[in-house]
Amino acid sequence: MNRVLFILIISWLLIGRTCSCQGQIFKNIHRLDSLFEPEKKVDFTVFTRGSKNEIESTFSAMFLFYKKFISSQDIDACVFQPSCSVYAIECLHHEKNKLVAFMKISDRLMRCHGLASPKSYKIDKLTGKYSDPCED
Amino acid sequence: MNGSIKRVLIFLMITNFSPAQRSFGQNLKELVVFSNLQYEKGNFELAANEYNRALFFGYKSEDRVCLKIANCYFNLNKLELSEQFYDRAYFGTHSDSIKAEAVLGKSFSLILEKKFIVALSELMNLDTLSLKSQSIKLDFLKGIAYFGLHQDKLAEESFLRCANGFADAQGKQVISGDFERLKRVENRFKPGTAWRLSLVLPGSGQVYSGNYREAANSALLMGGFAYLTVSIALEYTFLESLVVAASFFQRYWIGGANKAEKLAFERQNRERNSAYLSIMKILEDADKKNSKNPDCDAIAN
Repeated sequence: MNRVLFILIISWLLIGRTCSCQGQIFKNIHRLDSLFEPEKKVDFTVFTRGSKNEIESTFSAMFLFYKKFISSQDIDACVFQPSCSVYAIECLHHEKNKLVAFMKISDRLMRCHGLASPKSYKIDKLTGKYSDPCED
Repeated sequence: MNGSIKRVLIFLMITNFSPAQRSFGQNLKELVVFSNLQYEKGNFELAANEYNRALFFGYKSEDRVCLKIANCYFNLNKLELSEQFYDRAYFGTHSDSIKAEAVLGKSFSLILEKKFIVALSELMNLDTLSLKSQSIKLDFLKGIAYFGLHQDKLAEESFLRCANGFADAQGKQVISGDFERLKRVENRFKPGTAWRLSLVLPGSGQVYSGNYREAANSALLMGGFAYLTVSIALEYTFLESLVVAASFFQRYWIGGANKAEKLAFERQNRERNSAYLSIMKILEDADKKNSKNPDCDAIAN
């Protein structure tokens, strides 16, 4: 019985192998669909959703205005990933103590210059910039 | 012979020579059959583990098993591992068909990693292929690699050869049309021209790239900074206006030009992606049509 089953499986596999004319490449053609897809634009509203009070809402609106109309026309000067504005809005959302958040933001703005030491930061592989997230 | 020895002998015969006992032991061949089954079912993780086990215990067809393992890792999206096993299959075989399949598989992994130039150098190793399906795959992958390297003329030739392999005359026309359209768009939206235009007149590069909202944004911003620079110069001194506002003016001027260049690139990339998807669709359809009437000359994996 086992032998019969074994022979059946072998012959099924052999038949399957010789009659299948679709190889690995065309079977997986769908994996190539996103190869030249243009970069998706970052949706900055994700950083501003769920504002809990007036301060957060005001800063969120200012952040969105800045990102949409000012920063979009600027040169790519920030040496960090995420950029200083994204860092600032993340700090405001994550830090319970807003004074600490403002201190962290000020510290970040002072650290953001061309002479920032590469030894102090990890490199973000995607952007090649210094990785310095708010929550560390 | 007394009764107790008889009973022991019968017991030994049952336990040692019974076919049932032999059927429970798993040899390497059965292990590979089991792995093949898992592979066919799409359980690639398990199949890869079992193939690796067979390889470890010295299964004789190492090249075929390596190819299978590479395919498993490919399907599991462990591309670097799959490339290693494709290499192992390539160097461990004398079969031209397996060599070709390994090169094609490795190139496909490299293309997925967007290492187009490395993929192309791998594909250059394959000159003539005896199997028609492998030649089609070769042209297909070469086409994508050239396309990724912006070698559109060579990409078009490769895709046309691929469509030719499927005997798809209509598809060939559509592919030529797609490349023609792509060429037109790339000539119309030149990033360098957009950048220079924006340097001469802020916002004009954005208009050239077809984005009027960005153009208005840039023009308004530059107008604001120009007004600030002039008003500070008139109110105070020219040096103070330089220190306070002109640096921003310069920064956003260059930024606007860079933005115009980026918009032109984005426009080109959108068209490039649309042409690429159209070509993929044509070749996929041709492949499906072809597989309904199989010539069964293919497949090594």
